[in-house]
Amino acid sequence: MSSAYLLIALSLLMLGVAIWVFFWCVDSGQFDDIEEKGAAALDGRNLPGEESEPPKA
Amino acid sequence: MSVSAAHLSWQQQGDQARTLFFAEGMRCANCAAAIRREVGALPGVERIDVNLATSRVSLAWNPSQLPLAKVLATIESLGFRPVPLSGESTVRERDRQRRSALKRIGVAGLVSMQMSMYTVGLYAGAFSGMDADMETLLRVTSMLLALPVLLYSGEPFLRGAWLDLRRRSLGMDTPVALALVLAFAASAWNTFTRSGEVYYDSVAMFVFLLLLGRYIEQSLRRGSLDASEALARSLPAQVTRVNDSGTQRVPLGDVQAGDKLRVARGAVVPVDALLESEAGILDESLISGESLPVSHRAGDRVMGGSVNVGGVIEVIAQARAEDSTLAAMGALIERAQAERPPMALLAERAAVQFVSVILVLALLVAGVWLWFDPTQAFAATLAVLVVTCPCALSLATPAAVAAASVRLSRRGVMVTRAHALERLAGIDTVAIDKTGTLTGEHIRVVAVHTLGELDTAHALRVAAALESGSTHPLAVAFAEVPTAGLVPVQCQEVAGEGVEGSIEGRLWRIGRAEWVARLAPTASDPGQFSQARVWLGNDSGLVAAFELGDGLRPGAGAAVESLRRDGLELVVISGDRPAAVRQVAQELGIAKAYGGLDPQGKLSAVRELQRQGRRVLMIGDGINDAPVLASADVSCAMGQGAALAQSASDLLLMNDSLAAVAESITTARGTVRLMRANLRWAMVYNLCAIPLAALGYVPPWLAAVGMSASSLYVVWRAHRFAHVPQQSLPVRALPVSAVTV
Repeated sequence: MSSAYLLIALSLLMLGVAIWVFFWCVDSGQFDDIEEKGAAALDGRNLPGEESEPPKA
Repeated sequence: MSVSAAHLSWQQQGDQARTLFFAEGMRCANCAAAIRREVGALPGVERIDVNLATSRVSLAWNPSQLPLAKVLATIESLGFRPVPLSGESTVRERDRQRRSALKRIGVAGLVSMQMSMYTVGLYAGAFSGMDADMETLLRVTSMLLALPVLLYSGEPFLRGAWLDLRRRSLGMDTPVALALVLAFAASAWNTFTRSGEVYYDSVAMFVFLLLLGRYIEQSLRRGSLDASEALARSLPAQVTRVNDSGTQRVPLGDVQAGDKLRVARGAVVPVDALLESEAGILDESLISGESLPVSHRAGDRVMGGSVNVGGVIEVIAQARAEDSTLAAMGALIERAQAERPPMALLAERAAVQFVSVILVLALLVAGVWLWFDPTQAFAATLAVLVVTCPCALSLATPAAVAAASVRLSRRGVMVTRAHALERLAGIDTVAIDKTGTLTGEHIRVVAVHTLGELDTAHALRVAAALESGSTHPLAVAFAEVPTAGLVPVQCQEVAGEGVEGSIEGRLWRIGRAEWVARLAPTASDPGQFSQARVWLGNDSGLVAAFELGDGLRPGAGAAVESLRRDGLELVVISGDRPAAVRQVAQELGIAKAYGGLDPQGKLSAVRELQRQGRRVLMIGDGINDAPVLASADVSCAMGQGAALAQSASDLLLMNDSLAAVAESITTARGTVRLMRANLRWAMVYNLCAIPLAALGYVPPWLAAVGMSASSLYVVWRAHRFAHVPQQSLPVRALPVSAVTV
C-alpha cells in the first residue's frame, strides 16, 4: 500500500518537471512562430536577425 | 507593460483629436459594449467606436476637456489593456499574450492528463473496494492539482465573469465561470465531508478544452485582420532623410513635401513620393492588390505604403504622411469600422440576451432534476451552462465581414462602408459611367483607314506632324504618335476646319472632310468611312480617315462579360456624346446606354432605374460623379491618392481595374450567405445542444468540446472564405524585371 503513496508523490514530481520544461520552451520562444520559419526556408527569404546572403537567382 | 498616453500617437484638428488603439482582452460583444458605454459617458468624448473582430478602439475627443490618460485609465479599469497600434510594442504585446495563453493551456492540459490517472484509480477503487484513507488521498491530490488549473489557467474566464459582474451585466464568460466555480466548490465540499462525487477532472478538462478553443479562434481572427490595417500599422515611426551633410533619422510626422528620403530594402515607403533612384522594385500589393512586384523608373510616382523589395532607393516626398494615400486609406477604414452592419447589430443584441436566458434555464434544469433525480442534477446543470455557445452567435457576422474585407483587399477593392457588403449582395443592375471607367480619359486614334497612296503608318506620321502645333482638343489624339522627323512648314490653323501645312514640299490638310477635300481639284468621296471625324488629304484628294475615340480600358470587355455572366443587367450612363457612348456600349454588347447626360441627368437615370424596383450599383470615377454615386444603392469609385478621402463611395477600386467589380459582387453574395449560414449554425447548435444537455445526455467534457467546436467552426469557415486559393486571381503578365528578383 505504501508504494501507492510513493507513486503519487513521484507522479506529482514528474508533473512539476513537465510543466517547468513546457514553461521554459514557451519562454525561450519555441512556439512564437511555428509557420513563418518553415515558409521562409522555402522561398529563400531571410528572417529578421539572420545575416547570411540569400542564394543568388 | 503599462501603456501611458505618451505611447499613443494622435492627430489633432482644432478642438478634436483622434486616435486608434487596441484594447486587448476583448472577448465578446458585451466587452465592446461596455467600453463604448463607459468611455462614451466621459465628458469630452465626441465619438467612440469599438470593433470586436479586430479589438480596435477608435476615439474622437476634445483634449482640452479630457486628457487621453483618463480614457486609458477608464478602459483599464474595465479590465482591458490599451495597446498602441503601431510598431514594436504591438508585436511584443501579441507575443506576450500568446505565450501566457500557451502556458495556461499547457498547465491545464498536463494536469488534466495526470488527473485522469487518479480518476482511474478512484473508479477502480469504487468497483473493487478501496481503503477510505487512500480514496481521500487521491481526492485531496486531485483537488490540489485542480486548484492551479482553476485559478491560473481558468483565470481569463473568472476575470471576465468578475468584470461582467462588476459592470452589472452578463457576458460570455459568466456561464462558464459559474460552472467552473460550482464544480470545484461542490467537489471540495464532498472531499472534506467524504461523501458524494468529485468533478476535479471535469474542471481541468473544461478549462483545457475551452482555452484551446479560444486560442485557435484568436489565432484565426488575427489572421483575418484587414490587410490595409496591417499596413497602416507597419509604417515606420522614423525615416531616413538625406540632406547635403548626410543622412538623419527624423520622425515620420516631420517629413515635408520635397524631402529626400532613403528607403532600405524591405522597408516601407513612408509617404507618396517620386522615385529619385534610377530604378526600384516595389511591392504595392497592400495598396492596389497587385500581387507581383512592380518595377519603377526614376521620376515615377511611388505610393506611400509600398514595400521596397529591391535595393536601397531614394525618393522625393510629395506629400506629408497625413496627406498620403495611406492616411486616406486609414481614414476610410476607420469610417468603415465605425459602422456596424445591421445584421451584426442584431446578432450582438441577441447574444447578450441569450446569456441571461441560459442562466435561467440552468436554474430550471437544476430544479427539475433535483425533484426527480438529485444524483443527476449537478452534471446536467453543468452541461447546460457549458454547452451553450453565445460566442458562435456573436462571432458569426463580424467574422464573415472581416473575412470578406481581407478577400477583397487582395483584389485591390476597399470596402469603406459597413453596409456595403450586405447591399452589394442584393444588386441586380450595374450602371457604369463611361469616361474614366470603361474608357480611358485620353482621346486616341482608334482606327485609320487609308484611301490611296499612303500606308497607315505614314498617314499617321504626316497627321501627327501637322497636328503637333495645334491647340485643338482633338489634336491630343495624335500626341503619342511619333512623327519620325517630319516637320511641317508654313503651318496654319483654320478655326473650325483644321490645319494646313506643307511637308517635304507637298501641301497637306487635316481636319473636316469637306474642307480637306477642297484642296484637290476633283471632288473625292468619303465613302464608307463617314464615321471618321478627322481626315487627311493633299492635292490628289482624301488620303486617310482617322476614327478617334477614348479607347476601351484594357480588361473592360472581360469585366463586362463576367458581370453579365453573374446575371446582372448593365447600363451605361455618361455625359459624353450619345454617339460615342452608343459605340462603346455596342462594342461591349451593352444594350442600354444613355449619353449626353449632365450630373442631374445621370441622377434621374439612376432614380428611374430604382423606381422600376432595381437595386443599382453605380461605378464612376469618384469625384465627378459624386451626386449620382451617392444616390445609387451601392457606389463604387476608382481612384488613388489623397482624393480618396473625399470619396463618398461604398467601395473603392484601388488598382483602376474593372475586373474586381464582378469579384466584389461574388464575394458580397458569398459573405451574406456565410453570415446567414453562421447564424443558422449557431442557432441550430444551441437549439440541439441545450435540450440534450438538460436531459442529461451530454457528459460535462462533451459539453466543453461542443462549445469550443461550435465557435471554432464559425471562425474557421470565415477564415477559409477569406483565403480562397490564389488560382482564381486574374493572371497578369510578369514584368521582366520582377523575374530576376
